[in-house]
Amino acid sequence: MEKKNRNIRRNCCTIYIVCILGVLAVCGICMFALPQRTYSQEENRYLTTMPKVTREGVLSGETQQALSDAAADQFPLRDGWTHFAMCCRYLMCKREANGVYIGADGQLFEKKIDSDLSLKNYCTNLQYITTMAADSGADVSVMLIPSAGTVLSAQLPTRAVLYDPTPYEEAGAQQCEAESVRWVQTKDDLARVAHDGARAVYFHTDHHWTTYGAYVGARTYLQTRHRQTADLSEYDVQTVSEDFRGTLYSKIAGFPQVESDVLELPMRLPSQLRVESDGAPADAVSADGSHKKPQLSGIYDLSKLEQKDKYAVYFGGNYGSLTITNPEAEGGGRLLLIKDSYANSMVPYLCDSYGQITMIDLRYYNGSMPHLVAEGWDDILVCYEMSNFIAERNIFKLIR
Amino acid sequence: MVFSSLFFLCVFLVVVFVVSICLPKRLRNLWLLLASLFFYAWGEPRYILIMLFSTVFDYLNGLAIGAATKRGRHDTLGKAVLVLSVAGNLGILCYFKYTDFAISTINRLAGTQLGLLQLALPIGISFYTFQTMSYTIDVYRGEAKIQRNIISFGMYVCLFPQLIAGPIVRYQDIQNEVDARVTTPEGMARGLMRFLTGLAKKVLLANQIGELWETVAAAGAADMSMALAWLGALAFTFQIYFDFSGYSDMAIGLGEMFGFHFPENFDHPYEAASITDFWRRWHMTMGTWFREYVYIPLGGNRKGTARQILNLLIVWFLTGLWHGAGWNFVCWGLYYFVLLVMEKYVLRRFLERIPALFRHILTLFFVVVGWVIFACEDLAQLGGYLKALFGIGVPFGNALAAYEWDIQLPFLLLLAAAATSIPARLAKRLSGDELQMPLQMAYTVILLVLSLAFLVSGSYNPFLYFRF
Repeated sequence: MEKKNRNIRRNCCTIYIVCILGVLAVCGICMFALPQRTYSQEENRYLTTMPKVTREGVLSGETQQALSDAAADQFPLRDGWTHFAMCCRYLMCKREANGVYIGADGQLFEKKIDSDLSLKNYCTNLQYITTMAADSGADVSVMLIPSAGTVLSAQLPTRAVLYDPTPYEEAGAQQCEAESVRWVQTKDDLARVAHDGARAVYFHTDHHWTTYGAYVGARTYLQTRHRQTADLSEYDVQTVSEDFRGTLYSKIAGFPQVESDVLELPMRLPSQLRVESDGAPADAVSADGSHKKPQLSGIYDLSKLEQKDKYAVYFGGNYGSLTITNPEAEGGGRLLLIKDSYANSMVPYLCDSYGQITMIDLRYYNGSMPHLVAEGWDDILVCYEMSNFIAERNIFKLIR
Repeated sequence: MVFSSLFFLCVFLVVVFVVSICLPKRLRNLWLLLASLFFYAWGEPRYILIMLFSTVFDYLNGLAIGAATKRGRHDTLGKAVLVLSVAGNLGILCYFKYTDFAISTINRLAGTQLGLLQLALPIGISFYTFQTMSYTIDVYRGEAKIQRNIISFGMYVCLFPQLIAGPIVRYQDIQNEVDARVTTPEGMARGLMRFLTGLAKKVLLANQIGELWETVAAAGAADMSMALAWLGALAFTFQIYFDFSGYSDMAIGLGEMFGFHFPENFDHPYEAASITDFWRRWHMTMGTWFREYVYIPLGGNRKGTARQILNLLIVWFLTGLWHGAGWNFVCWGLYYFVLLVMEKYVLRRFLERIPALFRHILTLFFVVVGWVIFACEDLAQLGGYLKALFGIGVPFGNALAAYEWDIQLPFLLLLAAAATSIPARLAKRLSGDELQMPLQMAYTVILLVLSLAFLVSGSYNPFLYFRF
């Protein structure tokens, strides 16, 4: 009896070891043997594939690092494992992962707190603008789009902390008005529309604003310039995708209760619109992970709806410089738009009012800004998302 | 390579283990040596030469001490070889670990501009130099047999489970198992279970709470408060325990899978009722090493109180320095020197009279403050953090503290429970002898699944003890 028990025990142990090591071994073989994935739609990034082993690579440790990374990136059923881990976090009451808050109704927010941001950098950025404005002869406005979390604060997770925009707003208004630069405030208008609740002004799964948010922003700006805006219904807004999962989703992919966004676009645009770029979009990645030469035929690049980051439907991504001309525009006028990606979705609502809009993304533009500014613009608009602008390090190019 | 990586788990471990049990016993040491060299070379292809030098050097020193003893010149020639061995090992350790620290200290004090060497610290050098030193010292003292087989000796020095972060296995601990060890299915299964438990401690507990410490440490003055500082300190307290004890569990478990019995390294240190007690439970193999090879040779407590205090000072200065080439580590060591001396000579009567609960709380308080000294390598940052800890210049609470406490409290309670011996005792009580093993197997399978999920999904996976 005693001996029999011992044998059972022994067999139990052997089975246990064989099972565990067997499963690990199968995972290990799959990493190498299964077809290698190069790009993860879900996470919106390139995956490390099994590297070639070279002498230099091994000696410098690069090969080993790549092998370690590839082991995680090529792990069998990778997406399933990450989803499972996210579910565990959810069950542990975590409403935050990889710098993203998961708020009520699956609304996602970037976690940016006071100590991430610098008032000093912000004020320096404003100074570059006021210096530029003094020499430009144009009507210069600054419009900083509030971060989603500061407008939709009721939807943040319980007690979740976000930076306080008030000191930035006050300093901005003060610094701009002292130098005769117009400070355009959109927060109240956005908050009012968001509060009505009929239409989302920010995406759930992406940090950008929706086309409604952009419309409100455009309307607010154009009103300050005494230009007309058509009613939203005239723009024929249509749904182009019901399965938009934006960049914030990529960071928390698999977290329960987060649903896809609907992406809508205003379809009525001026008929003779022409779009010209200075090259390829600087940051866009197409669905297969390759960079393609763009063929811009208009504001929308509908092929981008096939890929994960569908916000790139606007122009196909961000360009150093992009010019949109509309010969039918009322009263003509030229607008220089210095911007980040938030402004892309606002352009459809500005086209009717300007004969020419030149969009400059300072992250990618390397021409001389003082020369460009001196070309004689009617209006200059600096339009960024607030926290982007606070942290932005390229505004100095305005006076370089 | 680290244990908590998918490449280690799914490729290295499987191959090394399966080949090892298929090989005849006489080839296993060679196989383990080769596997360990591969393991080390993974992260440090060039520095493997230092480890090989250290191995051959002490192998020869051991033989030389043996030869000297045989010829009756143990006290002269033997001693000379011993001094050579210790000087050689400490020389390597100091050169790679402390040269830049010494130069920058001199630069700061004397205002000179001497250039730094900018050497990368060879992984695990603090551990394997201590292990090889223990061999020659034990041979000299007659407490260990001389190892004449260089493959067996090399395997002892390079053995991958304890190579880079301990436990510090003295040669005399496993000398019998180096040449002849028994592996049974029960032993291997126990080892694997221990390994998986350690893996889960590291991946599920230490890494998760580590994110909180990173958040708090990165928070600027604008977001700091006393409540947040304490939360961060607690987070690091748990992170370093689960990280390091998890690593030790993995090492001990791996050892058992291959037939070795390494000494235990942790015994629920946060249950300690005094600082002395804490150091009997925390990183026990290092404590043993310093006691056996520094404190007792210096005279220990046999030469009067004044000498004992001096000996303690030396030991704790070195303990601090061993943990890292930085003044905060020295401060941390001296902090414990002060606490231990106070406890031994000044407050003993008082401490004996207060209720046990207060003794535990008091001990934990000093341990947590100690970890802050340990964690903040920049002295300015350390000063700021200590101030925040005691509410100097910061508010008691703020919004960030309220949020983090709110979401982390359940997890902190879980960690606190996991750090005590209660779960193990409870499991034993509930399952009884019959069911204990099957239940533990099922439990470790769940832990493995969870660990794999978090390893695949997470990129945050540092090892705190890697820099030593």
